[in-house]
Amino acid sequence: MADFLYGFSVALTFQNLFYCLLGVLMGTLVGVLPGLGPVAAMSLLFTTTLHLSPVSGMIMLAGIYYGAQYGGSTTSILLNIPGEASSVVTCLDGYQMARQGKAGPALGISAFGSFIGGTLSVIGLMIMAPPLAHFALKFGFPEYFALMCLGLVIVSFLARGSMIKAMLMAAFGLFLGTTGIDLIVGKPRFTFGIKSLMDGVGLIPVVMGLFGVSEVLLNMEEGLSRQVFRAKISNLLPSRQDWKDSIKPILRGTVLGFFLGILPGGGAIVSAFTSYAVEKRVSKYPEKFGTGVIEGVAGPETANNAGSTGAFVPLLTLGIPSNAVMALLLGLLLTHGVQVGPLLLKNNSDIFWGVIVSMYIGNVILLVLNLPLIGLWIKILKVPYPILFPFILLFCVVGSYSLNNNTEDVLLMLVFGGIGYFFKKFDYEGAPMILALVLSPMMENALRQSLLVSQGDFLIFITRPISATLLFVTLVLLLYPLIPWFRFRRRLASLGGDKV
Amino acid sequence: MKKREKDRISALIWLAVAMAICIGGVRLSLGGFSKPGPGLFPFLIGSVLGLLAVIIFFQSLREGPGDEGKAMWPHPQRSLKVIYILIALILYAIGMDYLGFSVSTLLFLGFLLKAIEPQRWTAVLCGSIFGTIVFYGVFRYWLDVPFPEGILGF
Repeated sequence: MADFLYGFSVALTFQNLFYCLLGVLMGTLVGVLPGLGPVAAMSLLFTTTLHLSPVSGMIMLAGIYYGAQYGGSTTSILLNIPGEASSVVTCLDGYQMARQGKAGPALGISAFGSFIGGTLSVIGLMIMAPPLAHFALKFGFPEYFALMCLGLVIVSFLARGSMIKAMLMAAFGLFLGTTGIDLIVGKPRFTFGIKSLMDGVGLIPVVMGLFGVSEVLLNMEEGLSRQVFRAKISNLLPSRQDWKDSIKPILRGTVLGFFLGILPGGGAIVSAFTSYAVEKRVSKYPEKFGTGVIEGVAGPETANNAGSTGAFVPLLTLGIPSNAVMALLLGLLLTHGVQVGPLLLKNNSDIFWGVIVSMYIGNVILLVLNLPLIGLWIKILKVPYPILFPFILLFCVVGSYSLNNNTEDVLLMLVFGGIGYFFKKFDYEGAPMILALVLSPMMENALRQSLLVSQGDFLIFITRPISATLLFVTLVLLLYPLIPWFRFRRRLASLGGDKV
Repeated sequence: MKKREKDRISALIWLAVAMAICIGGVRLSLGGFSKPGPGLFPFLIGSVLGLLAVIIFFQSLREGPGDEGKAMWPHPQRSLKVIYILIALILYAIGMDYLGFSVSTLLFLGFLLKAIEPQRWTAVLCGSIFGTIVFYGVFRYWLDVPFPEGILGF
């Protein structure tokens, strides 16, 4: 409790409060723009947080994150355009509600739901993080290596498309992470004589290219047609009946979201989808889902917010990001030279508790701010895309330029913009790659240090109980997709069709 | 293009990438397991990448003709815009060092606003001039980013 109060003392300084507000505002602003979700918003605005202290920077970047998340819900409800994958489900019922003239309550409940889910899961985070960080102190190199293997496999397992393709993207991300000066012998790897690759392929240019530039290219190609509801949005406050319908989905969404959020690759997306499925399952009128029922908005909107908070657990306790959003936050900590890992809680408690409390405050700001500001967001939505896109691109260029003040980073970002365009065309998902890119140096270091300790004996990963367990779970997940195939063959064999 | 065709093409590209990574790894020296060299980890990753590419390739062979799938480039006219935008971006990135931030940004915004989906001249002029001023102001003075000044000196 004393720690929590300490967090308040950090987060409530005028300066941090200001950056929290600024982050939430700018995040919402970018999140409202079509096609740009939280990840894009954070990478676009990343440079604006660099000149701050680590605590203020983290607070602002986290603010950008949930601001963008909320901005995404707004576009889903009003336009049927999800800012990113996690708001896809919000479109299903939210947009229908808007068409029936109930855009107000839909926006209102998603704000309240996010607030309740966010608040409760901050409490969950406070309870879970310290013991987990304590446990993680037992982790050595082999455990970290095994944990990261498990993480990458879970990410691929939870990916929306093909698991193999997601794993391939993760492998490619791991490769990208090996570029630059080798950590142990100091030899440059895969740099092709390019100066800015000496420090490795930068996270921000890659994310900006993949989630910013390529998104704009695809939108321009497809030609976004948008229709904003001209209907006036009145009474944002949900009615008593709305509350009665929503309160249980909100509570279920919170619990579900928080625990799914802890999983690698879980975070907002899986939480939102699962919550929608659960609400539909337990509903007395499942057939009405998709026609504009408020439960279909309240549950997922709460869950994705709770999930985002849950995702902080592995980052703040183990120093391992579980999705692209957390990877960016980790990136910020690393640029400031903050030691991440189990000791973060002890050595940098101002960051830990300050950020946690600011998330709570940020949720309040979001609630207070967005209800009256919705009119403004709608105005921005009405700016035609052909006028908007040059500025989004300009943001990407200037943002990547300002990282190291050179144009090489800009060109790198453009290369990934082009690559990202083809990824989409060939149905490859970028998120596992981003995560792997960040994990790669840590994973390689863990592998090489483990092998040095064991003098080349791979048994070190199996003889230690924690790492053995983690690797066993990894193996099970890897083999899981094969199970139906085995059953299929056995059934065919029992039918006498043994020629398969 | 059908899904299996897409998968087949992309799998072959990935396989080539994987082989390049493995060769690169060997050149960097693999070392032994007891004394891992700088090329070992990339080599292992390259092998996994290659294996996955092979799996995708064979999976696509097993798949039936399947759905027709979306055409890769249904509107060539619109896709041309993508190429224009990319060229504009590359020229902007390179030109910034020579022309300076203000001039190149003005040209970049003006081109995108007028040439891709033509706007009225007033919108083009207002958009590019105000855009340049706002971005210059925010990044130069608030965030202290030293933009290239170029031959014209601003």
